Amino acid sequence: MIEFHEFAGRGFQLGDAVLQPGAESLILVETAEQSAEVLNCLAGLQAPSKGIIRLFGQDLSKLARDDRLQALWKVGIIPEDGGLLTALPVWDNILLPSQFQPGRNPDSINGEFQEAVGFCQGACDPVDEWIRLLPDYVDQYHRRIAAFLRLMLCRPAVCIYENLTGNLPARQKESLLALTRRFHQQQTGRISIYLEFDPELLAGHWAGLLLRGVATAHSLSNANEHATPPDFRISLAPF
Amino acid sequence: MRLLQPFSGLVYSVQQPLKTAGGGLIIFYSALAYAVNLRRRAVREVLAKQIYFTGVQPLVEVLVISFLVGYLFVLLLEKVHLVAGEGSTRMLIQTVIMELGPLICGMIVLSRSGSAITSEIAGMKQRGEIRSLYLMGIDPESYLIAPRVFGVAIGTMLLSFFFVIGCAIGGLTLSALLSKTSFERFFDVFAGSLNVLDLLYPPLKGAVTGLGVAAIACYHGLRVPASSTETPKAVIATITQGTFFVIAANTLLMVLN
Repeated sequence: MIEFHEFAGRGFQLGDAVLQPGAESLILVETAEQSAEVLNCLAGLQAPSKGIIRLFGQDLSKLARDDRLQALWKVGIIPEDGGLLTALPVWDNILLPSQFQPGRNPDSINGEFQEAVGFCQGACDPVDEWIRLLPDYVDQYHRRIAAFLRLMLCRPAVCIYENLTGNLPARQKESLLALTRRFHQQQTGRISIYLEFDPELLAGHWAGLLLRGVATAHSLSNANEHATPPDFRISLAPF
Repeated sequence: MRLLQPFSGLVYSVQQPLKTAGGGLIIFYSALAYAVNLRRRAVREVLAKQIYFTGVQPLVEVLVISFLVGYLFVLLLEKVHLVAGEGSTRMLIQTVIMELGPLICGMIVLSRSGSAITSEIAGMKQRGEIRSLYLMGIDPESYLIAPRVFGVAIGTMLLSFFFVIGCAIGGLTLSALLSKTSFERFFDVFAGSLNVLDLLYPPLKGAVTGLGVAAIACYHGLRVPASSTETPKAVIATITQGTFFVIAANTLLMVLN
C-alpha cells in the first residue's frame, strides 16, 4: 500500500491518496522537475516539502540507509529514459540490480531473463541484435525495453515508471504501455505508478486512478538540490 | 573579514586543498566501510576493470619510462663525476628505485586513472546514473567508490613493482656498459644492497599513493554540478590537488622510512 498524506512538493501539491494493492495509478504533474521530486520522495531520496509519503507503511526518507536500500529492492523503478548506465552493455545493465538482491543465483536469473524476453516478444527487435551493445548505441525505445526487462527481473511488488512514454512515437508508446499493464496484471496486488508531466502522453489510454498535481506558490529553487538523505555521504544532486 | 579581503585568493587556495583533504578522507572511509561488497560479482568486475586500466594497460609505457629513468640517472651521475660504478648502483637504489619510482608511478596514475575517474563519475552524475543506481537499491558508494579506490591502489602497487624492475635493468645495464664491468657484478651489488623489506617498500608506497589519488579523483567527480562545462574544472582540480598529494605523501613516507 502506498499513502500520500497532504503531500506537497516545490510549487505543487498532490493532497491525499491511498494506492491499495493492485492499484494502477497515473500521477500527472506539470514539469519534469516535479515528477522527479515525487519519485525522489517515493524512493526516500528526499523528504517531501510538506506531508508524508509512505511505501509499505514506511516513510523511506526516515529509514536508515541500508534499510532504505533494502526497501527499494521490492520496488521496480524505470527512471526517465530508462536510467541505464552508459559504461555497461545493455545486458549487464539488465542483470545489475538482481545481482545485489540476496538469495538470487545467476542460473535462476538467466532463466527468469529468458522468461522476461519471451514476455516482451513481438514488442521489440530480437534481443540478440541490441543486448550486447552499449546503451548509447541503442534507440530510446529499446533502452526503455531494457529497463523494463531489468525491472521484471527484480520481481517488484511496486512498479514506478517516470515519464515512460516521453518522446516516443505513438506506436511504441502503445506497445510499451501494453507491456507494463500486462506485467501489472501478472501478479495480484502489484501496484503500478506512472509519473508523467505531459497530459497528452497518456491521453485516451487512462482509465485507472488519476492523481493530478495542483500548482501552488511557485518556488524557483531546484528540487534536486535537496535530494540527498542526511545519512548519505555522496551528494546525489543534481541529476 | 574585511582585513582578509586582499588575501581572498590566498584564503581560497588554502581552503580548497583542505576541503579536498576532508572529502578525500570521507571517500576513503566510505571505500573501507564498503570493502565487504567487493564479494559481489558486479562490484568485483568494476574492481578488475580498474586494476586493468590502472596497473596493466600502462605497463609497457611504465617499463620503458622506468628503464629510461634508470639509464638517465646513471648517465647523469657519470657526467657530473659524482659517483661511478658500484656507487652509482647503490645511489640508484636509494634514490630512484626506493623514493622516486613510486612518485613517478603516482604521477602516471594521477594523469591517467585520476582524470579518467573524475570525468567518468562527473558524467555519470550529470546523466542521472548515480541517482539511477540508488533507485535500483544499489549503494553508489559500494558500487562506484570502493572498487575504484582499491583498484587504483592495487594498480599503482603493480606499477611501482614493475618500475623497480625496469629501472634496475636500465640503470644496471648502463653502469655495466660505462665501467666495462660485467652486468652480473652490478646485479650482485644490486641484490646485496636490497633486502625483502626494501623490495616491498616501493609497492607499498605506491598503494598509499594510489589510495589517495583515487579518493581525490572520486571526490572531485562527485562534486561536479549539473553543467557539463564543470567537468574539465573538476579534472583540473584532481590533477592539481592530486599532484600536491602525491608529492606530499611520498615526502612524508620518505621521512618516516
